[in-house]
Amino acid sequence: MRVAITGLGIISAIGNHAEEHFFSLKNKQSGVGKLALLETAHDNLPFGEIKLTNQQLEEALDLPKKNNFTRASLLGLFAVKQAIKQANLNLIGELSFINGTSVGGMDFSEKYWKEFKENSPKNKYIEAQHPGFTTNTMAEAMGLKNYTTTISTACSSGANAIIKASKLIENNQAHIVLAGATDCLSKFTINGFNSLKILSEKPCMPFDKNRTGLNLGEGAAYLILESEQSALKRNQPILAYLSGYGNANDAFHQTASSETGEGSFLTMQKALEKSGLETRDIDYINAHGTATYNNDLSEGIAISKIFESEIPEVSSTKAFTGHTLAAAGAIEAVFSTLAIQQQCIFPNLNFQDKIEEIGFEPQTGFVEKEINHVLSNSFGFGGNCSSLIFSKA
Amino acid sequence: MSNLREELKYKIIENLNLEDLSVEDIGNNDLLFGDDIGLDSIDALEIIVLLEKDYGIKITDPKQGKEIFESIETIAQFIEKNQ
Amino acid sequence: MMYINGFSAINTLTKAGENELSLEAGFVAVPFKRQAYQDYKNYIKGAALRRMSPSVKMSAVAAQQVISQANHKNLNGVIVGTGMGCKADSDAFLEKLLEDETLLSPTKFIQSTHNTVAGQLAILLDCKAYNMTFVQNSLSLESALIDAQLELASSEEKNILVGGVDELSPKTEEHLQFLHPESTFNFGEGAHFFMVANQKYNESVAQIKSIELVSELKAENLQTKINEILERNKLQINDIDAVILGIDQYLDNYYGILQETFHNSAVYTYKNKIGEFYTTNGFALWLACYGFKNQQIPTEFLYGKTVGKRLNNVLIYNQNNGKEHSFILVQNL
Repeated sequence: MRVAITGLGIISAIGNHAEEHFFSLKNKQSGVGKLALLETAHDNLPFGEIKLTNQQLEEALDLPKKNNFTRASLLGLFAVKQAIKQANLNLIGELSFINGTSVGGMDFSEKYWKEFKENSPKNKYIEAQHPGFTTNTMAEAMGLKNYTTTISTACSSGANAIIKASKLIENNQAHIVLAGATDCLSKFTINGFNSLKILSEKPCMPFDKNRTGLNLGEGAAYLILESEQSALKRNQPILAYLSGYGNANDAFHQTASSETGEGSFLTMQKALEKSGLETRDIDYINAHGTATYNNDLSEGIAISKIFESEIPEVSSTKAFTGHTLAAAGAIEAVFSTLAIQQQCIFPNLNFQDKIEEIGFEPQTGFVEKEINHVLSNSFGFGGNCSSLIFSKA
Repeated sequence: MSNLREELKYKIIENLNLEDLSVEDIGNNDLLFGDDIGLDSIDALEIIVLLEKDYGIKITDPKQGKEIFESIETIAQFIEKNQ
Repeated sequence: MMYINGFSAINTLTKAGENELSLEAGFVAVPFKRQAYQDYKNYIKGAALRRMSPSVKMSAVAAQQVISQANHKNLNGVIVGTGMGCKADSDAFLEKLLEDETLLSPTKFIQSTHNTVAGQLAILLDCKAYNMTFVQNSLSLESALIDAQLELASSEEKNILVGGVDELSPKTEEHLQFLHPESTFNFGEGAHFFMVANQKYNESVAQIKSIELVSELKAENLQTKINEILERNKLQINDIDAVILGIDQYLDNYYGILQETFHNSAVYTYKNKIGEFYTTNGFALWLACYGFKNQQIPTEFLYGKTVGKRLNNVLIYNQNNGKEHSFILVQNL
């Protein structure tokens, strides 16, 4: 059974919907820069911050004044609405919803942590840091009744949510699934990544020999996935197919990737197997490419190993959006679908010198060419590695 | 002089949660990241924080730590040189 | 087809490693129940142990126990459900950064992502296969079980480790008192792990016939839902020998409807004994497996009427304050 994509929704530092993202990517306009909204001692560092306040998002979503929305659920619902609209869905209540988030409502937990006490009105945010809280806030606003769950596999959450949606459809447990992920910037994650000394002081340089670490970002993206039959029956245009996926664990270290990139190798191999495609069929790899020393080396080695002498065009779009953690896999799933729809490859910004140990240089320009199949990688802490393959409709 | 080495061993055991080790178990020249003690990259970051907090020495590039953190002896020498 | 080939629990009631209940321990009336198992060194090497949070430790022990019960079959995946993840480390890192955003050490942070348990199990068991984590409040473990079911829907022989875990951090204790000031109920912690496979082996103890999750369900539609589940599995109400209900401190009519429907079956409950936590329903599944193995569920867990004679079909039902309903139908082999 083929799994079709019929709706996309996205918000990140480079745009409030898919068209804006395409424009920014095409014109090399990065969203990484100075913080304007979040207050932290580390405001000297660059971030991919969305310049809409929570209040502006609430207004855009027409929410009641009294609500439980945290920033992740605001960004999430903002993107979800676009996807539902594009897919022309009416019976939203019956949708299955697979949400990915890692930070959840930690931004509210950290803001009110010291105000949690007896009879405090802020106590409603005590549970906000559990990812399920963010998902349920979104699900309730949409009136979802059916199967709703949350995947939290760090930076591969978004990709895994899409995999899960596909499995539900393939096994006939759902016909139409809303899947994607959302994460906002928070002091918790900024300080966490800073303590690991992997935040770059300048805009990140994916796959560059002299890369200096990652930039954190925030965002949300959602896809409507449905069985091909369902899409055809509804007369709904198919934007692309999800033709393969892989999930594996590096089983090496809690935060670092193995130098041989075994987890990433395995997951790409599984995705290719599932899709029935050969390595030469892949036209473009949207890499995880966070620009940390460790990730780009490990991922680069794995790509070189699996594609050998026929490495397709590779680029990381992290220098546009920053690393949006759980949302990254979903955001890049939208980029992959856009690459297929628009028949193009997006540029890898800030690249100068090749990493010696790996067999390729990333594509630094916006290139128009025939794109039939795109591979998208997402790797996370805990050794979680996932790959998705999107194919032309 | 050797007090610094003993103090470092104590602090490393404490900060890195090496419950099974005591100060006597760590030799001044034992390889901290090799087979002797078996520390990893997260421990290296913990030692960086420890040096800054307790000795006022800043290491900005974690890769620089590799040579400095070879053993208790090399860390002690680094502190003596930079303090 | 989903068979359970190993089951293990670490909570206030079980003796880890023996699948035996020490019921006396569970009857101590304390508002917070922390499991007492501490012999981690038997299962985890010292160097690995030093950074592990309570959730990882509990899970590491329970996981190794079920793997050995299932005769160490090749593992094709690790799926974990947790409502809160490694909460104590997460609390600790948050409190530190709220004091001062400089000179933070990373150890607590790296434990704080919700997939830490599944990731650590992958390392401990050297399992590079499928790895997934679900964090959906009181449907976390159930979401993991549903995912295992999908992974097992394959013609190849597959064995998957699936479990639920939650820890009770000191801060959580404090916060729960703010959230439930009138509470007379126990909050707890624990890990419940299962080895599931799409093949029946000698050591198989049960078959999970069906798992259904519903986020929103009105009480008046509960009966219809149950009928649907029974019908799909070609069972009558009287075929259900026992129901295990997640009765908690909130008196709502959902559990009452099940009691009424299954008035000829034995009714059991457990949260009053092991405490309430997001993955507490893992104990219900453990109890069903324990019941099949020992041909009865201890009468200490009875809620109401007497035990039936046989124990073939057990329905486990749980919900969270009128939301997040789960139905697990499990059958003796």
